[in-house]
Formats: sequence, structure tokens, C-alpha cells
Amino acid sequence: MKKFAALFVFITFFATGFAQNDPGPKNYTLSGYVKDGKTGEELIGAVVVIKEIPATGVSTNAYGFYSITIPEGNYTVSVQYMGYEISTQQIALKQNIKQNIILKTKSKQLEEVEVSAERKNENITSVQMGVEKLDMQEIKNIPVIFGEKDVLKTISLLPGIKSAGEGNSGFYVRGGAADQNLILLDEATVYNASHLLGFFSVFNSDAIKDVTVYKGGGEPAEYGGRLASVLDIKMNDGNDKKFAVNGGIGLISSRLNIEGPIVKEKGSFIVSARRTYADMFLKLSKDTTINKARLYFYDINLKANYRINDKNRIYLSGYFGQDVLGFGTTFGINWGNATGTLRWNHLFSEKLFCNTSAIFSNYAYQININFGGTPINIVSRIQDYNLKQDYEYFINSKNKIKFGFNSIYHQIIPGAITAGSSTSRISSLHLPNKYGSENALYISQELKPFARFSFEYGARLASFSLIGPGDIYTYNADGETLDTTNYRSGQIVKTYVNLEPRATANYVINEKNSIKASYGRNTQNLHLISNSTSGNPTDVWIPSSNNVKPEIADQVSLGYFRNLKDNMYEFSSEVYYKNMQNQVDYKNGAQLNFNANIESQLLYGSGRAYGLEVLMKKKYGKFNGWISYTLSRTERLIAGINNDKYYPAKQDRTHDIAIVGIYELSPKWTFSATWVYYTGNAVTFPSGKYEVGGQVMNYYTERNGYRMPAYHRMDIGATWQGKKTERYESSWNFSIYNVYARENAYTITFQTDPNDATKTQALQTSLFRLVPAITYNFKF
Amino acid sequence: MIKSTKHSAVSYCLLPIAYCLLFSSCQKVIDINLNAAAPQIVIEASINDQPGPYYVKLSQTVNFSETNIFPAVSGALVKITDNTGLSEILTEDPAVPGSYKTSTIQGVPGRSYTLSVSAAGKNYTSVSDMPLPVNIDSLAINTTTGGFGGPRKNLEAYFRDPAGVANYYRFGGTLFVLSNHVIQFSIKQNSNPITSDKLRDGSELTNNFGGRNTLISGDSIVIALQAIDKGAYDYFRTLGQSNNGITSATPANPESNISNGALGYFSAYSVRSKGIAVP
Repeated sequence: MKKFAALFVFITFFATGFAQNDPGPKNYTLSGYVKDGKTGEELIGAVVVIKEIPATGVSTNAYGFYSITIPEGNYTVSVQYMGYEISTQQIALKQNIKQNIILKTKSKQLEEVEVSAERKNENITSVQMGVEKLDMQEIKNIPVIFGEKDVLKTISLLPGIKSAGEGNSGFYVRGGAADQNLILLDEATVYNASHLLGFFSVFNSDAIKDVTVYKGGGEPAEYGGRLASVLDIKMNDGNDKKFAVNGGIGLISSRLNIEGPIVKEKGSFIVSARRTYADMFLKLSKDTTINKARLYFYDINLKANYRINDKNRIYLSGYFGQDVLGFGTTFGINWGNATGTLRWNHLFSEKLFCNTSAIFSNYAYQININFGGTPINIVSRIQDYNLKQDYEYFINSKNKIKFGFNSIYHQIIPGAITAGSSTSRISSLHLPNKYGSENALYISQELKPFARFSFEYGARLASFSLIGPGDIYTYNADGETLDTTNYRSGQIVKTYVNLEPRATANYVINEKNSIKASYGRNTQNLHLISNSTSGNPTDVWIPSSNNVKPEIADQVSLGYFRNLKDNMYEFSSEVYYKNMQNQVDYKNGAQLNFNANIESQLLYGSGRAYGLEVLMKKKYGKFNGWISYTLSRTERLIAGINNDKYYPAKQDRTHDIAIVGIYELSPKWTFSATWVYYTGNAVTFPSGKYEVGGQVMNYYTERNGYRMPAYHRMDIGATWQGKKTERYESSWNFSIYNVYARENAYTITFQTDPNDATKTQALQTSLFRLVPAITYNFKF
Repeated sequence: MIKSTKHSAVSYCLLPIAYCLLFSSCQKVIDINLNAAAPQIVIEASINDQPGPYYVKLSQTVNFSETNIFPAVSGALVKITDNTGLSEILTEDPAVPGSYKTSTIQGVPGRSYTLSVSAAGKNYTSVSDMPLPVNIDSLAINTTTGGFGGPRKNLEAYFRDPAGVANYYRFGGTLFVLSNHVIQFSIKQNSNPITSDKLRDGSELTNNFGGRNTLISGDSIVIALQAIDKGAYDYFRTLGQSNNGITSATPANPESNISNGALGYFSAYSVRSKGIAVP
């Protein structure tokens, strides 16, 4: 109840805020959408500036909408967006005006003669910190494995965001575990973002418009549900002017993207699909095990939107992806995500924007095994039904309020084993389903009380309830069942309510320097239980319950931002400290597979993470790129592990460096290179050995007391742009992954020396040495 | 590492995926500096319902880089006591240091046994209950179709789980091979399949010894079904999960049922056997 009272105080405070903003002179609102001139795609985060009023600037929202309320007068309105020409126009504001602004893609020639004064310094002036935004144009040129450009691989080149390693598209943000990232695709949660056991991510770059990562603590209050970060990915809306087709043909995968108007400039659609065909080459093998292998994935992104009138627009978007891996009829596993989002944008007025979304999200895997003639089928699934409403109230150019609610119903099928025939002696097993309801209310306000000072603050009230039916167990310290209670369908087992305050502030020292600070609390009620060190499609999500408490993180961060040489270079440095409660780890020898008492295998404790992030970026010119460095530590303290002393979390990495360079030699040739280096993950290695039953066993003395060898790798790429005409353009992309063939450790295992049974040796498995790739891209 | 003779881009791209994803074959031996660990006692002890003697083996851990010579712990006081007050001090075999042996005691199903060891000024104890024996009803050899390497013969053991109590099992076995056959079938002590009746209380259970074994017509096998208690079961269960860095959540020492940080286990079990000839 205290928490509701606190929220009430917030709301009262906001209301008072309204009253104080009574306009003196007559104010009018300029509003509209900012769009790409060629495709009609709305641009997210474009900056609209009124030249006559210093320090007045608003950004377009997630749907490309802006609204700015200023006193009556004649103004010069300038709109900028990375990679586009600046649009400047005169506006006589004598009444509310609706004005859509069209931006033209910047031509190469123009970029060279660009007036340096027009370069924007948004990183200095924007109130948000701990945010990374990917430039989708830039992604194209960065070399990646198999030549398949990939947003997840690219964000891990930014400070504070670390790749979980080869063969894993998980990532770690500021010491958070891979399951502590909220991954959203058009607002729908993606529970497993990896294809082909992590070598690709589920995000097809062709279908993506915008990628933003919030590194926890002080992120906008509309986001919640995960401890470490939010990766917010928005799909393209489709060209509403003309039909367009583009695609790429690569060695192991191809993709095709079709878009066009439904009704010209009123509605559009986009369909984007990919498939890999590595297994087609496997069929050429003479080895009967290899040539029967299935190994591929495909995915489809679909989106359509229609503008009903000036005030109403609907969007329907969906994703479906599937991975298939198997050998003949012996073994097969399929897994994949499906999401669907239906959205309705509604403008109550020029100042009040509202979006309502109904969202569906599903992740499932299915395993088929032929076990001695008996077919066995295993299925597992997590499914969300989500209703969400977000309001943005643009009071004036210095005051904006956001509020809304979010209600999610989770259904988790942890695992059901069905044995194919009734005569089978293998028993069927169905782990009990879990049901949860997650509800949140939030409100936040962005204020610019002084030209140099801005801040955003707010709160999110998040509740989670575990719901029946089901048997709920309580356990003693040894993990033995003390008590079992049966709950009816719909009966609430346990409810947790958490208030998550968030605040961030920016003080602009001058045009080139600013200091930012933030604090935020995040909570998490779904926890991923992984039975392996690398993350598997079969990892299980468990909800908070009477045994598992919500994870809570409090993070403070401080940042210094500086631009050099007329905004040619951006430099930023942030430090953070994060305290985490109710962290989950496993007992030694935990049994996690198909265990109805999985919660008895868990241990709980606290964690802390702190670090320094530095980014130096050259944004313009023929040669551009960045250097990113992170120095950090992440530790856990859990009773029952490591003699109750702090131990490094798996994702603890002392140093993490990424260097990205892109060089445009000529309009035809662009070269690029990346180099990454990071400290190896913390792992448990044996310190001794002993013998039991004639077998040599490893003797472990501490959890995560060792390090994998340091990882480093260089990739290079080249893009050759073919002849460009109005109707057709094409390009070739060449890349080499791991160009100096470093054998990075994937796993290290210990075994008896095959040549000398009295000795034990360490065996390192590495995945890739040098991997070249060629892709042909086309567009018409 | 992969050796590819065709250096076309295609094979270069695909072989690593195929081999690494499916067979993880890019491997090499590396040098790792591992810390030294203070020696810890290792106790291997069991008692069953068959005539003795039973053995208790005491040894020590060594550092990882050392050769596999595990020092015996000699001169210890080793005692087994049951819940009826019967007890025996074991004597060390002068020929095999660290091996302690009973001379009179015999295990009785239903009784609870306590092992106590005093060595180098430290005391270690463990309690294990000897469950009632469970008979193997039958053994069968089934031929599996499909799967890697085509059809193969598999051994299955069937037994009825006693209802109303938690039961834990461990299998042991011996293979007798006809001459001229290559032995591919082996059941090692530490890799014995174990199972529990947790979800199938009172029903007929099956244990399939398929997968790793190839049987040939003419082989004969004796399978021993041990009824073990939970402490021993947890040891063998966690033993199976602890030593592999890829498939286990975090590698750790198996959960020992002996006090004071000792490694190893003490198992009081009852055992029943059955044999079959491979047709």
C-alpha cells in the first residue's frame, strides 16, 4: 500500500506541474511526422529545432511523431537525422499547424562538403544516458561472420555491452546475465534471440528500422521487466510510395525483402524473409551421418500499416522463425519464436499522442527422438498475451509527460514428454504448467527548466502474480519438499509489488561538454534456468514464486560527454555501480532437466557490478569508426556457494575492447575492419584430482575461480558498389571472419592423456579459425 | 583442427559449421596453470547384503599437474556400526595400504549403517540406510532400428518398484565374452546407470543399457541391481553431472554423504543379480 501511496504523490506532483504551466502569451502547436523522402518511412528520434528559441529541441517519437508548443511567431524550423540532409523551413505560427517534414538521404558528395556547424551534438544535449543507438546504414559495412549483418553482433561492439561469446547470441550488459535483457521486436518480447545455436540472431537487418539499447538504470519508465537492459528493435513500416524489392544471396543464406504501398501514401506493407541452406551442402557428403543431417533456419518478418485519417493509424506486425536441427529419423529439434503486434496510434490532440498495442509472443521448442524404436516427443513453450497503452503529452517544448499501463499474461509449459506408443515402457511426463500475470503502471516527466539543465524522472509500479492451477511446493534448506499446497485455476499463489523509481539529469556545460547522472531501479519476475555454460534452446524460464523472489537492481551512473572538432568526434565516459538482490544461482550438482522441483535446486543471493565505459567515435568523413573500452567487475554473494564469499559471475570481464574502422576509398569501394579483445569468462576449473572406483575425478575448490584464455579476433570486410541506376542497384560484400585465425577457446575440458594414462591434460575446443564469406546484394 | 584438402570458399565455410556444430572437432591440448590445492581425504566405502568382506578405501587428492598416483591414507581408525549396536573395526590390508577390510559383519537390509573414520586427527562420519532388495524380473535383448550406425542389440532390465517408499537404484554388471569377439560393451563402476522411482512409484521400471554398448550374439551378461539410499543416490547422480563443463550448469564436486569435507561416498545397499545370453 505504501507503494501506491508513493505513486499517488507522484501523480499529484505531476498535476501540480500542469497547473504551473499556464501559458501567458498565446501558444500554438506545430506537430506532424518526419519521414524519409524516398520510402515514406517515419524516422524515429529525428531532432526538430526552432532556431529562434535557443535550447528548444524535440525528438520524434517511436512512430516518427513530433509536437512542439511555442508562442505565436515566425520561426525557422530545422530538422536533422543522421544520414539525411538537414531540412530547414520558415513557418508562420498563428494557429496550430500540422506539418509533415520530408528528409532526403544524404548523398556522398554532400557529406564531404558538409558544413561543420550543422553537425548535431545530440549526445551532449539529450537527457538520456546509458543509451546506444545503432545506425542501420552503418551496420551494412561492419564485417560479421558468414557475411550476414547482424544487429546483436554489432551492438556488442559498443561499451558496456559484451558478446556472450562465439556460438552464442546472448549478450551481457553492465554485468547482467543474458536473461536480464529485455529484447523487444515491435514491442513483443523475444525469449530466444538466437538462430543456429547462436551463430545468427533472429533479427533480419533488412526488416529493421531502429535499434536502441538502454543499459539499465534510469531508462524511460515505459520499459520494465528485466534487470540489466532493454534492446528495443522496431521493424520497418514498408515503402508507401512504390514497390521495391531487395535481397542478398550468400554462401550459406539468402534473403529477400518486398515492400510497397497498400494505398499510396496511406498504407504500406513489408515482407522480409531469410533462409540458410548449410544442410544442402551437407547432403553432398558421403558420410551417412552427415548427409542425413538437417541444419537450417528460416524467418519471416511481416508488417502492414494503414493511416485511417489524420488522427488514427493502425499497424500489424509479426515475426515467425524456426530452427531445425536433426539427423535422419533418429533425432530432431526445432525451436523458434513467433510474435504478433497490433497497434493503434491515436492523436487525441496535437499534444496528446496515444498508442495501444495488443501483443502476442511465443517461444517453443520441440524434440523428437527415436529411442530404440519408440518415438519420444518433448515440447516446451512460453507464451505471452500483452496489452499495453502509452500516452505522450507534449505540454510545451520544455515539458513532456509520458504515462501508461502494461498487462501481460504469461503461460509457461516447462516441458512435456510424450512417448509415442502405448506399449512403450518409457513413461510420459508432464511438468506442471506455470501461469503468471504481470501488471505495470508508469508515469514520467521530461523537463527543461533552464536552457542548460534538463531532467527526466518517473516511476513504474510493477506487480507480478503467480496464478494457479498447480501444486506449489515449499522446501527446506536441503531442497527437500516440506509442504505441498494445491491451488485452483485462477487462484493467486503469490503477488509481488515493486515501485521502480527512475531519474536522469543532464547539465550542459557548453555546446561541447555535458555531465549526466542517473538512478534507476529495475525488477525482474521471469528467470532463465540454463543447464549449460553456453545457453541452449532448451533453457527453461521460471516465474517468481513463493520460493523465487523478484530480482531487483539499483543502478547509479555518472557520465561525461564531450564533442571535439565541431562535433566531428564524440567522446563519452560513463561510470556505473549496480546492486542486485535476489539473484539466482544453482546448487552444486543441480538437477535442472525435467525436474518438477526445479526451485529446490536454486540458491539465492546478491550481486554487485561496477565499471567504467569509454567511447571515442569519429562520426563523419571518409574514415570513421569508434573505439570502445569497458573496465568492469561483476560479483555474486550467495550462501552455499564458494564458502559464502563473493565470487565472480560467469559474465565478469575485466577488460573489453572493440575497435571499428570504416574507410570509403571511392564511391565504389568501402573497406572495414573490426578488432575485439576481452578477458575470458570466469569458469570453474579443477585445482586437483582424486580417484574413486578406479576413475580419476576432478577436484574443484572454488566457483568461477579461473578464467578462460583472453579472446581476440579481427574481421575485415569490403563492399563493392555496382552501377547505381534509378531502377537497379547491386553490391558485392566480401568478408573474412577471424582473419589471423586465432584459436579462441570455446570450451576447455580435462581428460586423461591418451598417450600417458598417468597424466591429465586440458583440451581446448575452438570453433572458427578463418571464415570467408561473399554476399551479393540487390535492390530494384 | 579441421584439415580441409579442398580450399574452396564453400568447403572452408561449411566444414567448420558442420564439424564444429555437430562434432566439435577443432581441439588441441593446452597448458593451463592451475592452483595447488591442499590435500583432501577421499573415502570409498560400501556394505551390502551379500557375504563380506567389505572394503573401505582411503586416499588423498593430488594437484592437477601431478601424475595419477594418489597417496593412500594408512593408519586410520575405520569403524562400521549398525543401528542394532553391532560394530566392527576394520583392519588395514598390509599388502594394500589405505585399504581397510571387514572380517565378521554382514549387511542386513532394513538396517542403518554408520561409517566413522579417524585419520590425521580428523573425524569423518556417514550414515547410510540399507534398503530392502528389489529383484530383476527379467532381462531382454532388443534390437534397435535406426539411430547412428544402423541396428544394434540393446539390453533392457525390468523390475517392479516397491510402492509407498522412495527407491533409488544403481546397476552393476559383468560381461562374459565368447572368444574372438571384440569387447565393446563395458559397464564401469562410476558410469553405472542410476535411476530413481521419483515419478513412477510402484510401477514396473525399465532400464535400457542402450546407446553406448554393442552386444554380439554369444555374449553373456550378468546385471546386478543395487537398491541404494538417497545419500548414495545423490552422490552418484551429481557425479554423473559434475565433471563435464559443457553440459553441467557449473562443474562441482559430487555431493558427498560423508561429513567434514571428505570426498567420496558410503553406500549401504542390497543387491540382486540376473544373467542373460545374447541370442
